[in-house]
Amino acid sequence: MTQFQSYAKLRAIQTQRLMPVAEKSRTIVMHHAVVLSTISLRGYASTLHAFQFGSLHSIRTSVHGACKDPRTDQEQLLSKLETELIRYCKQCEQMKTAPQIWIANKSALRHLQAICDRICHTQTHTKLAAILQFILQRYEYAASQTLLSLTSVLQKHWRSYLPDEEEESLEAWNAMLQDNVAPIQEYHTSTCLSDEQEASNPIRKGIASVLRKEASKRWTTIAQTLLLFSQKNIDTISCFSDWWQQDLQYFTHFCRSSKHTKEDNVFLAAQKFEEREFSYENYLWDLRREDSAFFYASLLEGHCMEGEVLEITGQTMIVGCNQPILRAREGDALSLRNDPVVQFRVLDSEWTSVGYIVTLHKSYGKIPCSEQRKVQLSPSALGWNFQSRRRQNIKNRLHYHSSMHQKEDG
Amino acid sequence: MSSKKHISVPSNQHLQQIYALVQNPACKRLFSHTPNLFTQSKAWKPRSHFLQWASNNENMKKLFSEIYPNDDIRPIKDVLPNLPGHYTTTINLPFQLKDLHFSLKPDAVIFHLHRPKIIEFCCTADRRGKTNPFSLSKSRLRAAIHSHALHPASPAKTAFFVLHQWNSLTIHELSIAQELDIIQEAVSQTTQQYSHEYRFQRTCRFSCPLFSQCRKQAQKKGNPQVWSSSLSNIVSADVHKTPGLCHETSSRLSSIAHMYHRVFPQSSQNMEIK
Repeated sequence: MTQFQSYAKLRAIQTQRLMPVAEKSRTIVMHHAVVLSTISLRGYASTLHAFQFGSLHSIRTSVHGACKDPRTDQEQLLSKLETELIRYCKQCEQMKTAPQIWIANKSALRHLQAICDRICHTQTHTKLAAILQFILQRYEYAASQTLLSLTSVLQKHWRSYLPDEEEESLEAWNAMLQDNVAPIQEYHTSTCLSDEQEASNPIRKGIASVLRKEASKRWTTIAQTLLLFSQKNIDTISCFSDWWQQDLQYFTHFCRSSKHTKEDNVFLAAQKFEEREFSYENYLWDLRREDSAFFYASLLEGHCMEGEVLEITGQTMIVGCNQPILRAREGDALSLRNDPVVQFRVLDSEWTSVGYIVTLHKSYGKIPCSEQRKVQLSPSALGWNFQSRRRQNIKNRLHYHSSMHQKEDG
Repeated sequence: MSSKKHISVPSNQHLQQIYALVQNPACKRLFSHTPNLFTQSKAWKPRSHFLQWASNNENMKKLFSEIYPNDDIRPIKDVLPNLPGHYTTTINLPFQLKDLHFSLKPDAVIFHLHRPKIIEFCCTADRRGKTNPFSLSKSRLRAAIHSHALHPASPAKTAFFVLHQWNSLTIHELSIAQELDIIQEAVSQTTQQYSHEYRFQRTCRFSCPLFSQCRKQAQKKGNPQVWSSSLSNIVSADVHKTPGLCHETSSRLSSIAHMYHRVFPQSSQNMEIK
C-alpha cells in the first residue's frame, strides 16, 4: 500500500466512511459482463464443487451446478462449466468484443488457478483448460479487463475502514457501498467452504443443495456489489478504450489460434514476460497522466515531481520542488505531465534546506515554460512519441485483423 | 521394517503453541495462558495420510536416490541416526522456551553430511516458481523449530523439504537460516522482562486463538497495526485520539495529507468518484 492509500485508510477509519483513492473510475462494467462464483470444500484446493455462472443483468438465465459426491463427481460439473464458457466466448466473438468475467476476490482467483493447473496437467477438459489459461494469463497484464476480481478493483478505487484481511470480503464491501453501518453478520474471504463435510467420510446427505445454495448466494452478492460499483462510477478514465482494444486484440488472437494448453517454451515465456512488464510500465504512465490521485500517490513515492521553475538559462531549466523524496537522478528523462512530447534530461539534483533543486536540460527546441511557473513532471523512459505511436498501431491492428502477433512490417 | 505402523499424527498442539510464542515472544498473555489455550484441534486428515504414504521406505529410497544411490537409506527406530543414510520417523525431541517444556515430534530425521538433519513433509503441490509461499514459509518455520530442538547450540542451517507433484514426490534442500534467527531472537527475548500485558501484531491472526480478543482491545486503544501493517509506518500516534489528522505536527503525515486534499478537497469529499 502506498503512503497515499495509507492516509486514505487513516481518514476512512477516522470518519468510518469509504475514502476515494482514484479520481476517475478505471473500469467499465460492460453490458455483456458475466459473473462467476466458484465453491470448493476446504481441503480440496484444486477441485470444483459448485459454481454459478451467468450474465450480470439476468439472474434467471444463470447456470449453476453442484456435485453430489464432493470427492469423485466433478467431471460432470467441469463439463457444464466448459459448455458455458465456450458458449460465452462464442457469443463474444460474434459480438466482436472481448469477454469480461467478474469473480469475487483473490481467493477465487487462486481457486481458478489451481483448477486450471490441474486440468492442464490431466488434459481432461482441454477446451476449458485453454479458456481458463487464457483468462488467467490475461489477468497478469496491467489494465486487463478480461478477468476481474471485484475486491481488487474496489480497493483500487476506495480505501475502507476495515482491517486489510476483511477487505477481501464482498459482504463487507456491499454494506459499505450502501452506507450501511450495521455490523455484518457473516462474511467470506475465501472460496473454500468450511463445512462439516470437509474431508470426512461417509458423504453427508444433502451436501449438493448446501453447495448450490452457497454458490448462488455468493453469485448474488457479487452481482449486487457490481451494480452498486457501477452506480458509483460516473466518469471513466480516458485511456480505458485503448486498453480495452488491447483486450479485444488478444481475444481475437485467442479465438483464431489453435487451442492447446502446452507449457510455453522459454522464448515465448520470455516474450510474454516482457510484454507484461511493458504493459505495466505503460499503464502506470497513462495513470500518472490522466489521474491526479495516482500522480500525487507516485509523487509521494518519489517517482514524479512537482515544482516551481526558478531559473531558465538557454536550454537549461532549474526547478525547485518541496517533496519528501525524489528518485530522479542524473541522466533520467522526464516529460511534462500535460504535454508528454516535451522531454527533459536531468543534469543534477541536489537536496537543500528548501527542498530539491533539480537542473533539467532540453537538447532541442524551446523550453515551453516561464519562470515562476509551476510544472509537473513524470518519467518518460518510453520515448517521446510512444503514446501516439501506440495508438497508431492499435488503429492499424483493428484494420488488419490478423496482424496481432506478427512483425510490424510483416 | 514397515514405517507405516509407527507414524502417528504429529502433535500439532505443541507446535501451534511454539509458533505463537516464537512469532510474538514479547506477549505476556501468551505465556500466562498457554497450557489450556491450545487445545488439540481436529487433525487435518490430508496431511497425516500424506505423511503416512510419503515416508514409507520405498518412497524415501526414491527421494534420496540421487544423494544415496547405493540403497544406503535405512529406517531406524527411536534413536537419533548416526550413520549416513539412516533415518528415523519415530523420535521425540525436547524443546524449551523460558520455563515451558515441550516434546516435539519431527516428521523425519536423517543423518546427512556428518550431522542429523530434519526432513519436513509439506502437504503442498510443488509448482516450481509458483509453489504456495505461505505453506512453504510455514514448513520452513516448522523445520527450523525442529532443527533448533535437535541441536540448540548449533542447529543445522538447512533442512530437506518433501513436496508432491501429482503422484510423485520431489525433495529440496532449503536454507532455514532466517527462521533460525527468528527462533534465536525469540529464545533470547523470553529471558527479558515483559513490558507489555499483551502485544498485538499481524501474525497473531494465524497463530493465536486469542486473536480476536486482543484485536478488539488493540482496536479500542487505537493501535494502527490492527487495520493495516503499513499504517503503523506513517502514524505512530493514537489514531482515535488525534483530532484533526491533517493538522498533525508530524511533517511526514502532513505532507501526505496535503497531497491527498489537493486531489480530494475536504469540502467536497464524498464517496463518489467524479
